[in-house]
Amino acid sequence: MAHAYAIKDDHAEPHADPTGIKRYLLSTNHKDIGTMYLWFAIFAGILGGALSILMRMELQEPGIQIFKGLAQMVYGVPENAALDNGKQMYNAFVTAHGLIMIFFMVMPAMIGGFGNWFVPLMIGAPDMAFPRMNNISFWLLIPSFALLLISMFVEGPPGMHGVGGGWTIYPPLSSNAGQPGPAMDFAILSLHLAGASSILGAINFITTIFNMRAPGMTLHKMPLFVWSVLVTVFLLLLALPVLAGAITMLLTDRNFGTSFFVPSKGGDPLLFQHLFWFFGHPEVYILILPGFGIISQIISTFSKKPIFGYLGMAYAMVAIGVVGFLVWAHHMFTVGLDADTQAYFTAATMIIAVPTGIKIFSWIATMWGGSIEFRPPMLWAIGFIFLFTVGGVTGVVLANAGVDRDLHATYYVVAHFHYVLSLGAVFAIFAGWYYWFPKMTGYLYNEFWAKVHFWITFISVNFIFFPQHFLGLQGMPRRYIDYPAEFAGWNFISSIGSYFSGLGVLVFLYVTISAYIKKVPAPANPWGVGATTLEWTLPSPPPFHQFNDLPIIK
Amino acid sequence: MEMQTVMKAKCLNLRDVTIRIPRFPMCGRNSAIESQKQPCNLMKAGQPIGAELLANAAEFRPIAKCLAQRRFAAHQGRCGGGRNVVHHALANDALKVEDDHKMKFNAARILAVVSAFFAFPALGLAAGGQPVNWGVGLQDSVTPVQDFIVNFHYYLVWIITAITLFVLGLLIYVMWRFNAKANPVPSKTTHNSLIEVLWTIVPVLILAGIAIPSFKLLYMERNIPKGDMTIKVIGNPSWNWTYEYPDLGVNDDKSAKVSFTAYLLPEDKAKAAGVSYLLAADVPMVVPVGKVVKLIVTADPEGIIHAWTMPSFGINIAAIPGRLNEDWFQVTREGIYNGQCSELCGVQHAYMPIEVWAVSEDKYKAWSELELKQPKPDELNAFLKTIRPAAAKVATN
Repeated sequence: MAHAYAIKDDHAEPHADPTGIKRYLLSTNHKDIGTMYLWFAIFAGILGGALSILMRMELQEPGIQIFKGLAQMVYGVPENAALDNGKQMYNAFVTAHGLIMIFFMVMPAMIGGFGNWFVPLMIGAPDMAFPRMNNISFWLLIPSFALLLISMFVEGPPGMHGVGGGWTIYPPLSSNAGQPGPAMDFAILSLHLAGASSILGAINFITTIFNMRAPGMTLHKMPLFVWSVLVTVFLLLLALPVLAGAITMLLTDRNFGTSFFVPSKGGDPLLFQHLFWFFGHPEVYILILPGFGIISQIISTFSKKPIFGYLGMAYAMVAIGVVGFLVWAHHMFTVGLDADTQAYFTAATMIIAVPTGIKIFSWIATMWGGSIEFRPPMLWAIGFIFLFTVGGVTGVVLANAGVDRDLHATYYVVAHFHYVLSLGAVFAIFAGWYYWFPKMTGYLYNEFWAKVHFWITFISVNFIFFPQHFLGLQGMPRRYIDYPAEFAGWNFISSIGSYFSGLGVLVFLYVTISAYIKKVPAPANPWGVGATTLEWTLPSPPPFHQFNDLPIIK
Repeated sequence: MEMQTVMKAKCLNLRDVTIRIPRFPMCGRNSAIESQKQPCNLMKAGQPIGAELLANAAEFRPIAKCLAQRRFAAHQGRCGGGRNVVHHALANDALKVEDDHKMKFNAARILAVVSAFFAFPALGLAAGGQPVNWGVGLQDSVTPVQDFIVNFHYYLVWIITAITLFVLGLLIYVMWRFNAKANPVPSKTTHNSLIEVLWTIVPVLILAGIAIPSFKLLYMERNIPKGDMTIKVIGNPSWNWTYEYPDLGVNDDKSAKVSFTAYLLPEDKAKAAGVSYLLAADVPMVVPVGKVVKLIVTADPEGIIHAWTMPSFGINIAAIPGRLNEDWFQVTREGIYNGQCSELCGVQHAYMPIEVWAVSEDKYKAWSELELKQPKPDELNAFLKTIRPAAAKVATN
């Protein structure tokens, strides 16, 4: 228990460790805040996953089966308006699924959760640089999430509910022309709060990593997970203000009569797309970079070898971060950009494959010559490498503006970004969860069921997303509630896969809850000689305040 | 009749020539398959099918000659011997277009050969203009641009499959060779400059090999040729498409005389007509086969963004309020082609299909004359039945 270790501390506490509301609501402790972030991410992830399973149920066969009734049930709309309300509800689900998974699941889990927990531990710091700011970073997420959920229940388009603009919220669909109701305003304010939360967190991490490393912990000795968070938070700091600017312009267009994006008054909807993707593309690297860090730690630990090509790995992430800011318009190949612009964005985008390739091969080289143990975190990490490779190579296809004509806004794109995010980032999160769970909670979990969780998830997600490549190549547009019968076959397979992935989530909950119930105590280092970073030198769970005597790194 | 026989004989003589043509990037495998079934009636007297353009390319002069003669032949027969001729003549027509843009590039030819060699049949099952259930590849091509996309995509598929299998193979090897049982004592190797340089340089070379044909394709798409005709496409906020044909004449207020709006064909009517619900529109956009059609695409200024997408043409272009986007296509085969809106545009996003009929020049002329008379819906529908192209067939091989 945390308390026992805290009391043993030489640095005697002038006060007892806080408990209950005082411990969590007013928390300034990076580990407690990290834990809250993780629980929040699990909650949001289950909600976002439930939305996606409902969408897959609808798409299981052509026609509208689920959402008409769902709209009647949830919104209480009359029978004759139910069909259109159902269509809008589907679009609102598409939007909410995207925003929840990005802003309230992956980011809180990776940066808020694992970042908060392990950045200070890995660099030998007692806590984050600004503990109170850390608290507000987390607690801003709650009202932000609430605003997003409320937006699903207030008017969007006339007579209908929710934001149906996709997570990209392009105007004019998201402005008064498309959805005059307040739902969009709720979503904008939600994004503002989430953005503020992330920017505060980013400042906190940058300050912590630059100023609070233990003696001898030079930048080039930092674990790769810390490097990955460092790069990520710089991306956050530079990208999120651009989003904030864009959605503020949208907000004033909607409410105060400005016309940044209103063509009939001299504005231009394309401006929003440029601003959005200037944020949006770095954002997808924000989602995956911490995953790279987590995977590096795990591959090294279970191969019992130091990471291969450490500097190359670190600077590959820096390169991905830098180039990530210069490729945004590859999301906009079909908006009518001239040929030279498209050629530039094609070339710049493909360049990202090089540092990404360095990372993939360095992970394999780390395993090469190692003594690999297939514990649950390692299974997830190896699964990550393969699935991320699949998602990566389809990214190379999409990078070609010429081919993107046929693939833009089809299910091919859906398959691509789910392979790198739903499979890449989520596999990294589960890998991190099973890797650090004993450290964070002090309990061991049932490794057999953790492996079952892996295999169910690995197989089912491929069933969901691999056929979507075929749908996309055949030309099925994304964000469709209904589709021609010609697309029925692969959609059915995809839907069946999603139900099994839902089963995987239940197994995950079983593993987690049973660990808390059985309370099998975990040693300081359950993974053996390969686990060399500083967090494994502390007891499990670490004391409430750690490193009162700073460790010295040779 | 006698003329026809002569023609047939000439075409037969050309067999050797035509077989070589599919190596051209524009004339990929799919086109070759389709063209085997191609009826000769694509060729119409008086239609500038590109013979004079073809004559520029010395390699194809014999075909051009044949084509020039064929023009005067009766066009209802089937072209037995020179079955590839018609299609490739059109493709070469496009080649000329490309030549206009001073883009000579032999790598694309090599690429096409390589991809045609590797392209296995399963990937090309899609019928032209329509998706097919359980289809796994791009829709079949009916334009030079899509020909190039299809070939280039085959090339990409082979590269990415090879890379993925290479990574998978490495993973399986290290898991087998370096697991804790097989290799209890781990090595301490953390650097190997040679291999690190290699895995940086080799991907760069692969990407360069992708980028070169990719740029070629991009510039072919975006260097919009001087069109034979122009159609303005307007995406409406009420989830339907308006098509305007300014070339057919304009009113005093500069609006096009031929202008109509295509809506979703309702489910019961689609079922009755035996066409695919959600792909079929109530009236088609009609174009003459073989002509370079220039599109001006926009959306209602007070409306929302849509995207005019036609997979078998290789077109996806956003219809943005306040902006005019350009694109072009040249359909090489008569038929009915369908696409769907592909920019999220609100509640009825899934319900604004796009339907294009590519018909012969004569039929197009007849259609445009009728349109100029502002026909009643019944009258138009009755007429459309007479010019309706045969439904696209699934290519089997």
